[in-house]
Formats: sequence, C-alpha cells, structure tokens
Amino acid sequence: MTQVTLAAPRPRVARRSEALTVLRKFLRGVIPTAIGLVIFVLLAFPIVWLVDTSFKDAYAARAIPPQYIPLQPTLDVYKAFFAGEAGAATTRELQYWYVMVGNSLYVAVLPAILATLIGTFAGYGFARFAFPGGMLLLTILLLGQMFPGPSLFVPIYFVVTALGLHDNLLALVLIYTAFHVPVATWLMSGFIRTIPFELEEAARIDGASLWQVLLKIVIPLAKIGILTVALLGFMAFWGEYGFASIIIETQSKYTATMGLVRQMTTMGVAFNVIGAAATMMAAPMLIFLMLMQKQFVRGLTAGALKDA
Amino acid sequence: MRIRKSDLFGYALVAPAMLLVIGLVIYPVGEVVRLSFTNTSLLAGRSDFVGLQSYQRIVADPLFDTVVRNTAQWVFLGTALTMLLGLAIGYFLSFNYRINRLLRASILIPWLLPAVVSVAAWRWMYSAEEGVINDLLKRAGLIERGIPWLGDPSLVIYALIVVAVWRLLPFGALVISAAVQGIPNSFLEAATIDGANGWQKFRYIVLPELMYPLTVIGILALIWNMNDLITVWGSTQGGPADASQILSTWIYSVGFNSFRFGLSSALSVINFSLLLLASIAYLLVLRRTWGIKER
Repeated sequence: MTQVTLAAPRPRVARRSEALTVLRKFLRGVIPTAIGLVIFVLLAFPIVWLVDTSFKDAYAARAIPPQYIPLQPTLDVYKAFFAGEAGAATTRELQYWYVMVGNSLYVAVLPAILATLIGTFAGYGFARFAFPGGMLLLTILLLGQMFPGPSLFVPIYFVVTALGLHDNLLALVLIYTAFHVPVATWLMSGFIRTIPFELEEAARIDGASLWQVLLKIVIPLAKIGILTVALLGFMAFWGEYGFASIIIETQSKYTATMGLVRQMTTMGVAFNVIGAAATMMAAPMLIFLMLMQKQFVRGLTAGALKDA
Repeated sequence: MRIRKSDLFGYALVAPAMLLVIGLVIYPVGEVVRLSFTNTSLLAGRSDFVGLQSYQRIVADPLFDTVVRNTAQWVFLGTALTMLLGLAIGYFLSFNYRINRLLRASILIPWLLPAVVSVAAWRWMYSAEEGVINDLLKRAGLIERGIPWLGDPSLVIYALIVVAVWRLLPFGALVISAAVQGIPNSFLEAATIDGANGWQKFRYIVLPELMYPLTVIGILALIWNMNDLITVWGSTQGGPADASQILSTWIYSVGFNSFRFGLSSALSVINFSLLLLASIAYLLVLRRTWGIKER
C-alpha cells in the first residue's frame, strides 16, 4: 500500500508580538489553576472549618471574629468523648458516644454485606437468565429504588412494630438491607453484563454447575462492582437518620447520627463538640477514599454511564 | 410453558431480593395508601376509615401553600443547579489541567460524607454571630452586620438549597467528566481541524453526547432532593416559623412529633405520587440499560 501523506493543516501563525504570546501562555496556565483552586476551596472549606473548630475549646469556638487557626489548639473535646463523658457536663446527648459508634457500625456493615450478597445473586439472575416474568420483577425492583424515604416512615413504623422489633437495631439491619437491594441489583446486573458471556459458557461446557460458574467466575470478575455496591451501602446507612430516629428510642441504642442530630437540635449547641463528633463520623469515609478512590470512582461512573 | 432448570435457578437467584423488596418496600407503600384514608392517631388511639378527610385537611391547612412553594423551590432549584454546576465542573474536570489531579482526588468528599456531617458544617458556617461566612463578608466590606442566614424566613430555604446542591453536585461532576472522557478524541480533533472554537466544540460535539448522563443526574437529584430529610431537619427543623418546611419534614413532624399517622400518610402519598412520576421518567430513560439480554 502506498503511503498517503496528508498535508498537515498549516498553523495560522498570526504576527503577534513576543510579549503577547508569553502573556497568553501564562494566562492559559494560570486561569484554569485559579478556577480549579476556587472550586477546591468551595468543596473542601466547610469540612476543613468543622475539623478546625473541633480543636478549639468552648471559648475559642465562640470567638468573634472567628480564629481561623486555633490560637491554643487542644484535644480536650476528643478526650472527653473517649472518657465517655462527651464534652463533660455540656452534652447529655452524646454521652454514650462510643456505644453509638458501635451501633452505627453494626447497622451499616451488616446491611451493606447482606444487600451486596443478595444484590449480586439477583443481578446475576437478571443479567443472564431470561426467565418468564423477569421484566415484571425487574420493574418492581426498580420502583423499590425510589420509595425508601419519608413516604415510608409511617408504614415502616407499623411493620417494625408488628414484627416486634420496635426499639431494636435488628429492625434497622432489615430495612436498610431491603432499601439497598434494588440499587445493588441494578448496579451488579450492569457490571455482570460487561463480563464476556463466553467465559461462563466455556465453564459450563467443561461441566461446571450454575453455582460454580457464579462463585468461581462471575464473582471474582465483578470484584470492583461488588466493592462499589458494598461501600455505597455503608455510606448510606452510616449516616441514615430518619428511619433510625423513628424506630430507636433508648439512648444506648442510638446510632452516632442520631446522637449528633439530637445534639444539633438542642439549644445552645457547642460547635467544637459537634465538630469533633462529625470529624469522627467523617473519618471512615475519608480513609476509604484515600485508599481506594480510583476503583470506587471507576465502579460508580460505570454504573451511572452504562448504556446497554 | 415448560419451565427449564436454568429458569428455576434464575428464580432462586432473584427470590431473596424480591421477598425483601416486596415485604419492606412495596407492601408498606400499599399500607401507607390505606392509612391515608383513615384518621389513625397514636395519641387519640383511633383508626377509622374517613375517606378523603385527611387530604381535605391538608389542602385546607395554612401551611399547605408554604410547603408547596418551598418544596417546588427545593426540588427544582436544587436539581437544576446540581445539573448546571455538575455540567460546568464536570467539563472543567475532563481537561488535563494540573490542578485537576487535586480536584479529582477530593471532589467526592461532599457527596461521600454522611449528610449529617455536612449539615453540621454548613450550619456552623451560616451562624449569624460566630459564622465564618458573615465574617468573610464583613472583612470584604460587603456587609456591616451579620446576616442571619438560617434565621431569616425569606433566606432560609435558599441557604439550605445551597447545602443540598453542594452535597449532590460532586456526583454529577464526576459522571459528566467520565462521560466527556468517553467521547472519541477523533470527534474533537476533527472539529479542531475544521476551525471550531472552544465554545462551538462544547456546544455541538460535547453537549449532545451528555444528554443521557445529564438526564440520569437530573432524575437522581430530583429523587434525592424529594427524599432528603436531614438537610432541613438537622439545621432548622422547618423553621423559623415554618419558613423552611418542605414535604419531607412535614411528613416527619406530623407523623412523629404529633403522631397523627393518618395525616402523615396522606402527605406521604402525595410525596410518593410525585416520586412515582419521577420514577416513570427514570424508567423510560434507563430502559436501555435495564433491558434483559436475550440468551
């Protein structure tokens, strides 16, 4: 084949003074950086400010004008939490903080695992088996994704009471799992569809059972999806407030979110205490973002962008 | 129809998911519709069928107009701003600016953090006396006395919409930037050769490719905003004087402050009908993603 050389488009070099070119180059570098920094500050500042406040004592936190860098940084508030007193006498609401954090972990980790497991099975079912009625079930599931929210407060309260689970953390485990299953199924079926079907067919021909195909081929290949789905679940339940607050009554069963909201809705809130509690609640998400940001973002955008 | 072995396996795979969702989502939706036709009240200890009385009471309630106006602003402004800013920031993120490495690593933070943490942060910044926003505005010489952002009935809903948008737009930006990066380079190169400027490239090549992800972001933001309780409840509980009351907080306070479950259920049905409309739109958009591959 003869090589065809396309005439390169001749750059339209305008006769500009050297100085103007240098200025343009400079601006091209500086303007995006400036815009980017503004976006960064707008996104990060609220959180930085809250963390910053948590290192102040009660007087410094209320100082006018505010101390941008704490003059006398202190860990007293955090210490009070771990002594179990939570800001000494000031906050009855956060008294059982470490118990509440434990409760939050329980109602976030367990449903995340359960819903991911159930969602992976169902996602595989919908992605690979065209059984009668499948489309109807899928539609029901998709509708189930929309409703968990304030519309369900009253009926869930009745269902939980009827099950004898009022004021019981197990109720939260159950309903959070149910609420996450639709999203988990949707995302997992999307991920599983990106896996070449030929791999599964080959395994079947080699005599693997349907179960073996799922466990040995599909699940290992859908790892990033599984991780994303589990983390989305953890994220949602770790900070859930509405349902927790209508089901749980005893303070020792509160989740950390409930404790924090109760604290925020009392009079004379101490923002250094709130800041410390909020920082501790933010910590797991920040740590995990640092560790696996890339995989998570890939999983998330793949889920939202999957276009058949 | 003969049921094959692999069909049975398929049913077995989806059965646990279906049971949970039907039992704890679909059945309660039916239950809330039933309760909305009763005058169930935990305090009065009654639960009789009263027809449409709860709905009539809601419409006659002096709060109804405020809630409708606030909810409309909350949902539409919140969703529109999330889409618009998500588009702008997402497009910015798709370029190879050096600053974007920092931005990409940190942009998810607002979306990822528990909502209650963000609400606490913003409430602290909005504070009239010690608040940092007022302090910065004073230092810039724009105001002399602090503005009570959450205490002024005419400002509060907008102040809270800012919080909601701040939390949701990182998700939008991330999805948009991934979508832009998925546009084949050859499209943009061809446009460059044809002499298109930056705006023309965005308008005629990038934007048409973003219609699908933008719709998904819009509908998700709409649903998230409709279902959002904590942003308002954690900062003002609908106050001052109900100025920031939206549908979700009204459902919550009627149901679990005054335990009038009949009324709260009727409000829930209204909320849920609006969500159903959004869901249908969602379903239509996502059909392509959801279609089962025939095997």
